[in-house]
Amino acid sequence: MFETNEAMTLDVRVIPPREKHPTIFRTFDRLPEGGSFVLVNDHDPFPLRYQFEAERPGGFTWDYLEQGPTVWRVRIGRS
Amino acid sequence: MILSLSSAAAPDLELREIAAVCSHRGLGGLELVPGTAHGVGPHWSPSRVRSALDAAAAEGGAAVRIVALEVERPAEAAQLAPLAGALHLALLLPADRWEPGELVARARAAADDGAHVVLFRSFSSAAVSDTASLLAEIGHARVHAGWEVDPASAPLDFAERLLDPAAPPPAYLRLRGGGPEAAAQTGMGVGELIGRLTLARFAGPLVLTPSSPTFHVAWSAWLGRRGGWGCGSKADRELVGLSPALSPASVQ
Repeated sequence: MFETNEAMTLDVRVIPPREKHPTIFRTFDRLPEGGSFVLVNDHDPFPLRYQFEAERPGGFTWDYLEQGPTVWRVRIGRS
Repeated sequence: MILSLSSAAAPDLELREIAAVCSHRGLGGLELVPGTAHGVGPHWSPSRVRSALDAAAAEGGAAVRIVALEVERPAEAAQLAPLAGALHLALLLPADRWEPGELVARARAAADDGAHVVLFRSFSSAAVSDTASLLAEIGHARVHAGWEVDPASAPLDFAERLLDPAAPPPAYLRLRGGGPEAAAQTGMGVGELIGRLTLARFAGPLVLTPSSPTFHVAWSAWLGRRGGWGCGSKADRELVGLSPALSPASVQ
């Protein structure tokens, strides 16, 4: 009925604020090595990138696919 | 996943207006439910719907699609099936309100007419097994399962139950109490649900809908609508003011 996603999409706009980052990291940790998902948010998630650099140093990739003004999309990969 | 809005969140808006609101908010889909002012019905042609959506996209800057039409009365299923089929949207049949025999017959007929049909109801373990039986009886590739989930009342492990491999795979989800109400929620499993949907590569709509008309003003503000709140809304604004979710940039 609806097209199959080729990329996994994690849309965090619907998640209560205090659950957002734990959900993102939990989903990231369940990825296979080399896997990725597209994070969708309603603002630039750059503070999250700092948290990744602190907590998963060298273990992730970060590529902006769309940068606002309404929606931000970032491909986060597990390297 | 297509993050979408129910017309219940803006029940006074016509189709073009509510689609424009979705576009402004970056929501990709729109669910049309009975009792709201969208106006879409059997007398609408596909081109008329597309024209309204095109106008909304031009106004809001991003395309919005209709993901579903909810059917209220059994006779409407056959009337709406051709429109649903032409627009590739789901026809939601209320599986917990219609008599099973009627539901099976209407679902099969609408699917034969080209529509994708969703047997739609509130999520519960009992409803899962009942829906699985109905789907097996109907046996049509265009008939699917869809759920309304209320994190405030669902079991804590509802995400695990909903995506249990033994259960019918959900094609459509409606989440009560998202949007501006999310900021008031405290770890009720929404994050777990979204994470699991991601890993399951869920490609269907996730529809946000108010949990109560009490939050009408909060939703209006969240959707960026202006003015027209009328008498008595000052207290509502103060209630809304407690929520940091009004400004997307303020939500981490």
